[in-house]
Amino acid sequence: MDNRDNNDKPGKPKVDQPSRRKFLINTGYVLGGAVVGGAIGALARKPLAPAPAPAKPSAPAAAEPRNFNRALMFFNQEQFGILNAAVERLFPADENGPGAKDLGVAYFIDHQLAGDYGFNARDYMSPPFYAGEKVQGYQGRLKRREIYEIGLREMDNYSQAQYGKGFAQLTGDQQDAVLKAFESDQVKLTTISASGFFRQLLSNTLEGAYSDPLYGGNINMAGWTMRNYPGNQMSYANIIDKDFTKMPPSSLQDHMTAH
Amino acid sequence: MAKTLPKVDVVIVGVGWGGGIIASELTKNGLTVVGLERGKERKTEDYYMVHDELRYALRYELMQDLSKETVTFRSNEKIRALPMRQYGSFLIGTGLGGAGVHWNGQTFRFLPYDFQIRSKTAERYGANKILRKCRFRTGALRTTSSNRTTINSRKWSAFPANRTRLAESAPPVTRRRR
Ligand SMILES: Cc1cc2nc3c(=O)[nH]c(=O)nc-3n(C[C@H](O)[C@H](O)[C@H](O)COP(=O)(O)OP(=O)(O)OC[C@H]3O[C@@H](n4cnc5c(N)ncnc54)[C@H](O)[C@@H]3O)c2cc1C
Repeated sequence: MDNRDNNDKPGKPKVDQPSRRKFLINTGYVLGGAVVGGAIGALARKPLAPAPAPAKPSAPAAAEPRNFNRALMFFNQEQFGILNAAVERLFPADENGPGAKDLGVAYFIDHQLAGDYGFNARDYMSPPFYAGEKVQGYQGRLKRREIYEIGLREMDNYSQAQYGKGFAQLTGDQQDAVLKAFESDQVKLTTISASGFFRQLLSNTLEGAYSDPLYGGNINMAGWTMRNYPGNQMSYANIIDKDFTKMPPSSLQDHMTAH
Repeated sequence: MAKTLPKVDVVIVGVGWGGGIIASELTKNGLTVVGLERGKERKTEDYYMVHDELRYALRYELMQDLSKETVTFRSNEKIRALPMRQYGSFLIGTGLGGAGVHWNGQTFRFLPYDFQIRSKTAERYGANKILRKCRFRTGALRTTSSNRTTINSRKWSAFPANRTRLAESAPPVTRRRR
């Protein structure tokens, strides 16, 4: 089940356009690499090789029918605006397919933070708190939802200080500069780690792009389609000994009717 | 109120591979064994949504709830041991079957040392460090804290159903006498 290390299959076509998605490649985190707890904090992770799908005409999501499942559970509008702009820079729409905005990534993050994950409900959050070594993982007392609130506010503050505008109003290049300043801890914060927040944001962005649409992101499985990823098939028994088989992705929803 | 249950030869706390194999060997040797497990019993039908990578691989649904209990660790004696607050490199199993419910199915070849543990231990620490008056035949057991427990998956899946009955609150459980 734990296949986080299996992202680098040999023979995968590489994206070699100088796309903005390179930014993502260069940050060097694997899908779902939020796991810095336990004893691996210091281990390097394999770089993500995103979007190996053959280049497709950038397809902006078709106008969708009104979706009553789509509203905010946690963020206010302003926070959501900052987040939506930020995730689109981390996972931009380009020739490979839709970006984070069209995939609903910010909704995914909003919904995650509204529940157990945002409250760190299954993490050990009791005192005493001590600063630990990197290998000892997260030792803070702040919950993920609190980290997000602080992080987004600080991104906006930094944008104001640098450019006299809020993050969402900046140009793409300026937004990248802000994100990079966080990523490299050029921004000094007293409350949270700027780079820690950046990593959290990046991990959750990738989760939102590639986890089951059930959670609000990866709309219409477009994140999977973009990568030729078959989603969660019940079985590969029929094709396991055949040559590579292309198939339309299937979601958890498909399992509800499969049997 | 405490309820007194019939006396048994052995009580095993935790029925993962370790507890499971021990129960199996002891009952084969005619002892009565009770296994206590904190988690619920799980069946294939409970995993209809098992392909949900977010839920299982990234949010660790099958692992011990760290808010209730965790371990502390440090890499050397010079630093302060701190709690593992979130999952990282090692994952703690919970429920019947323990970590064996979600292992990856890889079985490693034995190393030469695996066949020499007794002699090497005696060589290094003295023969008197080895428990001699062991009533039970435990030689066949090979459960270590590392990844080297060897059972094949067929045996594994055959195990829980017929050897162990589990109850979350009411203790009791395996009763097999020969
Ligand atoms: C993701 C993953 C992949 C793995 N892949 C492989 C692999 O491919 N090959 C391999 O050889 N090994 C693998 N392993 C390792 C192997 O699965 C474990 O080492 C093994 O299952 C551990 O067995 P155990 O009985 O020692 O502990 P556990 O399985 O953890 O069992 C302990 C049991 O005790 C119970 N318990 C704990 N506290 C209490 C309490 N207070 N009261 C009652 N019950 C309690 C728990 O609920 C649990 O059921 C993997 C492990 C993981 C996590």
